[in-house]
Amino acid sequence: MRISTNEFLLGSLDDLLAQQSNASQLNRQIATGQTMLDATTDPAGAGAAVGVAGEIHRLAYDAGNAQSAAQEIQSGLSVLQQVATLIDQLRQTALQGANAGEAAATRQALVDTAQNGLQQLVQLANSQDPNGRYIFAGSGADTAPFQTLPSGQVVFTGDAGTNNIEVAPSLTVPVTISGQSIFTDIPAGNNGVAVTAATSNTGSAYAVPQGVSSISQLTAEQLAGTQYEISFSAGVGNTLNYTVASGTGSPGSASYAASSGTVTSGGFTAGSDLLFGGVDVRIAGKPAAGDHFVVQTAATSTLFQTVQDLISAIGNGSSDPQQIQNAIANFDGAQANILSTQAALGSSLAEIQGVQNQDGVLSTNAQAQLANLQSINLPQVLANYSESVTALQAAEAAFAKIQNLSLFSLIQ
Amino acid sequence: MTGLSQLLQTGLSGLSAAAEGMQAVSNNTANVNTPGYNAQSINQTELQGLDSGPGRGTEVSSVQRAFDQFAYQQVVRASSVDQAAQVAQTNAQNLASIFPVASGGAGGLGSALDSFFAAANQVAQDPTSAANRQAFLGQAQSLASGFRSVGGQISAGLTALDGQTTAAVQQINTLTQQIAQLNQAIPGQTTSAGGAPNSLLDKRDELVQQLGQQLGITSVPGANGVLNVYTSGGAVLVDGASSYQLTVSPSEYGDGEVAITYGQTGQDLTKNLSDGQLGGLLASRAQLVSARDSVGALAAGFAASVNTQQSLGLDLNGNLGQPLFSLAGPNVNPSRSNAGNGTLTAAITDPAGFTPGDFILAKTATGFEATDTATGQVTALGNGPALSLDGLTITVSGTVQTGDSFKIEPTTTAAQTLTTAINDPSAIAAASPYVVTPGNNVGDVHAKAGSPVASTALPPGTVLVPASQFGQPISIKFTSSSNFDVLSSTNSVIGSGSLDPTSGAEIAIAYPAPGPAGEVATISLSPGTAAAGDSFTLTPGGVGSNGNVVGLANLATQNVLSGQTLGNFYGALVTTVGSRGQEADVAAQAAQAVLTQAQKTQQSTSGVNLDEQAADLVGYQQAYQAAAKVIAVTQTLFQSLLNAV
Repeated sequence: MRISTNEFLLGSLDDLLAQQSNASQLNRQIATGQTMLDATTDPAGAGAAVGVAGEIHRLAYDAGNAQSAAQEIQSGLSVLQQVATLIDQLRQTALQGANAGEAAATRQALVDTAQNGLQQLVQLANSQDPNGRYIFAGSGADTAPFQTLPSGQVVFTGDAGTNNIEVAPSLTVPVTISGQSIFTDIPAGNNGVAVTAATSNTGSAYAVPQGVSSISQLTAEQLAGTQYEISFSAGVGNTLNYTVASGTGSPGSASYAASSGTVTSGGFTAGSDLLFGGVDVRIAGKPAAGDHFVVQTAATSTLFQTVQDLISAIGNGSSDPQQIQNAIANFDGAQANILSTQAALGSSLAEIQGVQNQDGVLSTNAQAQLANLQSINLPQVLANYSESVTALQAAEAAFAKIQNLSLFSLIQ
Repeated sequence: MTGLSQLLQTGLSGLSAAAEGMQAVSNNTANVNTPGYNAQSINQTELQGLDSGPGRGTEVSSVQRAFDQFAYQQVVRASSVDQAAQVAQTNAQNLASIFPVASGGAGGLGSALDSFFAAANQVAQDPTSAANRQAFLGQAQSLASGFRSVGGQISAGLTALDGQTTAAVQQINTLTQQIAQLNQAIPGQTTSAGGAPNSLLDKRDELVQQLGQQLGITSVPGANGVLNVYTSGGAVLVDGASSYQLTVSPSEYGDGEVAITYGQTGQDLTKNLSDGQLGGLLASRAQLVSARDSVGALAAGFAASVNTQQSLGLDLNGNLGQPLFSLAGPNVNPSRSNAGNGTLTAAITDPAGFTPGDFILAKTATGFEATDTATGQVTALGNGPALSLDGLTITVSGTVQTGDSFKIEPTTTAAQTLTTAINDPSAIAAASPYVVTPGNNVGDVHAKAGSPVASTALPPGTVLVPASQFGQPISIKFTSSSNFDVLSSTNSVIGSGSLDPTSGAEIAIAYPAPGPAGEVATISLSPGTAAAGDSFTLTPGGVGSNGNVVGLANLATQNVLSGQTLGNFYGALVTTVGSRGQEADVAAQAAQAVLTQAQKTQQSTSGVNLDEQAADLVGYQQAYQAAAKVIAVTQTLFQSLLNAV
C-alpha cells in the first residue's frame, strides 16, 4: 500500500507514545504498590475496595468498643469484688455481735468496725472508673449516685439507665451496672422474706426464715402483697400456742386486712419450724406469750440501712438478736445478688473476648481481600515493566533508523 | 511535413510540461507537512499531429489533486467521534480522580464517613469525655469540608466545561463563516474545462474537517461546487454562501445549565448536537451533573439522617439535639415562559426512598408530570398541592397554569453547602431521651427504653404520653397484676394501659419541637405478672447515657439512603464514575484506532510521499533534459542548414 511520508513518521511516533504511556502506568503501579490508580482501572473492584475498607474501619471501631467495654466491665467487676469482701467482713461483725453478750468496749469495737464498713461501702458505691465516671450512677455518670442525708440515711439519686455498645457486627453488650440493684434494691432476707419482731416482745425468741418450701406459692403471696403475723399465746400449763394469720397491709394498723384469717396454728415446740405460705420460718430462742412477729414476703433492703440497723442492734447495750439475724440474712442476700451480677458481667466479658478474636479474624480477612483487590503482584508487574521498557527501546531504535530513510539523500 | 520550427515547438512543450511537473513535485514537497494538503499531479495530454503524422508535443491539461471523497469523509467523521471521545475521556478521568480509590479510598469521602462513624463510637464509649466529643465534631467538620471540596471540584469542572463550550461554539461560528465565504469564491474559479481551484478546495475541505472536530456534521455538495453543511442531527450550519451562527444561552430554567441555540431564531439545538469537541463537552457535562447530584444525595441523605438522630436525643445540657449539619435544600427553577404565578417548594422527606436525579415538573391538563432529565421517564403526580416523588415532597402554592414547568434539582448544591451547624461539643445529643429505673418491684415485669420510632409504627394499645410531658419525669405504676397507670411528675394520671400476656405493653412519649413531628420515644414493658404497686420511673437520660449516639453510630450500617447504606451508596457512586471513565477510555481508544485507520486510508491516496516525489522529480528532470536536447539538436540542424546555404 502507498503510504505518505507523514504517516510513515507519525505512525511510528504513535507506537512510541503508546509504549511510553504503558511504561509510565506500570511505573506508577510499582511506585505506589497499588494496581488501582483510579476507579477507571477496575470500576467494580474500586467500589468493592471502598466497601471493604469501610468494613475494616467498622471492625476497627468494634474492636475499640470491645476494648473499652471490657475495661469498663473490669473496673465494675473489681469494685464488686471489693464490695463482696466488705460484706463478708460486715457479716463477720454481725456474727460476733450476735455472740457478744460482752463488755461495752467489745461492742464499741464492733460498732466502730461496722461504721467504718459503712463509710467504705458508701465510697465503693460512689466509685469512679479511670475516665472519672461514677460506675454505679446509671446515666448520670458525672454525679455521685449515693448521697448521705443529714439523718445518716444513704439514698440513691442515680438511675438504672443502661449503656450498650456494639462490639462486633450486630452484637451489642451492656456495659453499665445498676447501682440500684447492687446496693439499694435488694430482696431482703431470704428471697424477700423478712421478719420483724414486735418491740413489745418480752421473750428472747427471734425468727429466721430458713428457706422456701414452695416457690410458686411464695411468688403468688408476694404478688398479692401478703404478710403474716405469728402470735404466741399461753397454752395449757406451761406450753405456748402459736397462730399464723395472713393479711395485707401492716398488721395491727387500720389498713391491715386479714384476707384469709388464720393460716395455721398449734402448740409450739421450741426450735421448731413453722411452715406457711410457701416459706419455712424457724423460731429460735424462747418466745413469751403475747410476742408477735411480722413476716413480710416481699421486703427489700438496702445495704446501707442493713449496716445502720446492725450498728444500732449491736450498740443497743444488749444485742437485738432479731435485727442481727436480719442483717446476716440481708448480707447473704446481697452477696447472692453480687454473685449473680458478677456472673452476668463475667459472661459479657467472655463474650467480648470471643468477639475480639472474631473481629481480629474478620479484619485480617478483609485486609487480605483489600490486598487482593488493590495490591500489585510485584514480580508480575516488574516483569511487565521490563518488557514494556524493552519494547519502548526497540521502538525508539526503529524510529531512529527509519527517520534516515529518504530517496532524496541517495540521489546525487 | 514537419518543419524545424515545429520540432522546436514540440521540444519546448516537453520542456515546459517537465517544468510544470517539477513545479508540482516541488509544491508537493513544500507542502509535505501542510494539514489538509492533497498531493497534486499534472495531467499531460499529447498535442495531436496532422493526419497520420506524429504528434506535436505535449500539454499540461490540468493539475489534479489526489482526492478520495469517501476516504476524506471517513476522516471527517472519525475525527469528529475521536474528538468527542478524547474530551469525554479527559473529563471522565478528571472526575474519577476526585474519588480516590488507592488504599481502600484513603482520603476520599468514603473513608471520611468511616472516620465520622468511628468518632461517634468513641463518644458512645464515653459520652462524658469532652475529648471524644471534640474529636467527633472535628470529624464532622472534616467530613463536611470533604463534601464541599468534592462538590466544589465537580462544580469547577462544570465551569471549565462551560468555558470550553463557549470557545467551541465560537470556533464553530468562525469555521462556518469561512466555509460560507469559500462557497462564494469557489464557483467563480471553476473552469469549464474541469480545471479546479485545488488550493481553495483543499482549504475548504480542511475547514470542514476542523468543523467536524468541533461538532458532528454531514456535508453535502450542492450546485456549482458549493458544499452545504448540516449538524449530524440535521440542522443547517452552512447553506451555500450563508452560514448560521450558534449561541450559548442560559437554559430555559436559568439553573446554570447551558443551551446551544440558533443565534437568530433562538431555537434550541442542544439535543441535535453530538460528537466533536462540543458533543463531547455536552456529554461530559451530563456525567458531571449526574456525579454532582449523587454526591449531593449522599451529603443530603447523610446530613438528614444524622440530624434526625441528633434531634431524638439529649445533649449534655439535657436539651433535645439541634441539627449537626446544615445544607441547602432542593433547587426549584421555574421556566422563563411560565404564565402562572405558582411557586413550588421541595424537600427530601424520606432519604431512604430518595433517588438522586433532576427532573422537569410540568403541569398538564391532567395534572403534574415529572420527566427525568437523564432517562426521560415520565411519572404522573396528580394535582397537588402536595406532590411526592421518590422520597421528595413538593408543595405547590399559587396558581400553576397548564403548560408551566419547573426544573427540580434535589441535591445539586447539597454537597457544596454542607457545613456543621454546631461548634459546642456539649451540644452533641448522645443521651437517650429517657432511661428507666424500676421501683422496689415484686413482680417480674421489666421495662426497657427502646429506640424512637414514628408514632404510626406503634402497636395498638400503646399508651401515648403527650409532648407537653416530654422531659419531665414520668412514672408507670401498676394498679393490678396487669393494669397500670402512667403518672406525670405531679402524680396525675396521664394515661393507662394493660399488659398483654405475650407482648407486654408499650408506652410512647411524643417529642416536642424541635424534635421531629410524629416521632415518639418508647418504653417497653415485658410480659409478666406485676404486683399492684410495682412501678418504674422514667427520667431523661443523664450525661453518661449513650443511647442516642449508639443510634447515630448505627446509621453506618442502616439503609438510610435510596435503600442502601451510606457506604454502599458511595461505593456504587465510585463504581459508576469508574465505569464511565473506563467506557470513555475504551471509546477513546477505539475512536483513535478508527481515526488512525481512516487517516491512513485517506493519506495513502492524498498524502505526499517524498520517495515518490524524488522519483517523479528524477523523471521530470530527465524529461526536461531530453526536451532540452531536442531543442539543442534542432538548433544544430538549423545551423547545419544555414551553413549549407
